Amino acid sequence: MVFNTGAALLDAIVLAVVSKDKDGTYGYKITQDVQQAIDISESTLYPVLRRLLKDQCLEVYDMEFGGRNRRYYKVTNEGKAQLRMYCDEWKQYSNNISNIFVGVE
Amino acid sequence: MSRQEFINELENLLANIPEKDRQEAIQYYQDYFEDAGVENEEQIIHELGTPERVAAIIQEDLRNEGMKDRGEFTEKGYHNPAFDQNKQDVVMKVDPTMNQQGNQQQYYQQNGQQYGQTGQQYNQQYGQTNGQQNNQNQEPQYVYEYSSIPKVLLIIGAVLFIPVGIPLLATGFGLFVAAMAVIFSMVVTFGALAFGLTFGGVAMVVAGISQLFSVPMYALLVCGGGLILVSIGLLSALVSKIFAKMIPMFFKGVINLLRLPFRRRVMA
Repeated sequence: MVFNTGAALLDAIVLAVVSKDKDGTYGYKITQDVQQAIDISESTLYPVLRRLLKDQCLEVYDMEFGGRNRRYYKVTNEGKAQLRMYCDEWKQYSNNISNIFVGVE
Repeated sequence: MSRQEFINELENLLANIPEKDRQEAIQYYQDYFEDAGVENEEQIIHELGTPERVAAIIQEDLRNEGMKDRGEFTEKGYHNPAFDQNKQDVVMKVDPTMNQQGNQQQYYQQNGQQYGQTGQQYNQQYGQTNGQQNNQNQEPQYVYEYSSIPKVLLIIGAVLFIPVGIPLLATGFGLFVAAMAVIFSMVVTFGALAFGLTFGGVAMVVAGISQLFSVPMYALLVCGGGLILVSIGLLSALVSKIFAKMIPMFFKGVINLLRLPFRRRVMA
């Protein structure tokens, strides 16, 4: 990977990944899904999730799984609005850059 | 390192953050290991890196709470230049004994590869001007320096000045010669006087002494007179010397006067 991901873009990716599951997902799975899109270190995700939680874009609930409590993350309505905004921004952003790259030898 | 060791070490490293935050972080990573399964344990430890790194990431995030621009996320993890160990921090102290070399600029350098489009640019220039050389403790001393710049002006001026200049210069020169002559004659006069009087005086003294036993009163008179003459002679010798010194002084004075337009005061 050549390009580095800024904090905002990462937020967007995490929100998108979590929103794919209606009932939310858990930390490990989120990390795996995000890593399908970008190469990112596992230790990176925790601060992102924490921040999104604090900004109320995500909410958590615990559910039992295999004899222990598993923490699930779910996108809030606020989070959904934020994600929509990110998607629009991304469309514009990536288009602008793609246009610049057009015609490059 | 085993999973438990990793978690324990992480917990130790997070001792300085609030308990709630610490508990949450530890819980998260414990769940993470659980969900990954035993088979992935080694791989995860490898990808997480060191407990120190994970702890630093958590602490940095807590520190940056509320800040808009934080670090950024790269494939190597969360990168914030603040705890990049490879950074070259170059700050030069102002060395007061250094010579004036103009501005010294130091760059706060980062590992260049880590910057992406949305990343933060940490480029700061530290400019430091070296202070003036300040090692003069004694009184500044001035000497005269002669520059040749006015010479050109003088030549031009002289050429234009010729009609008036020549008679003026001639008069001046004449006066100068006259003065020199006077002084020289003074030297000669007093010199001769000194010579004559001293010798004459000595001669009188000798004559007086020789007559001392035959005509004592007269002899004493002669001696006394002789001594007086000697003293006057020595005095005029002194005067002659002074006049003699005056000649080179006079010369120097006139030359300095003529050089006046060229003169500049310069610090030693």
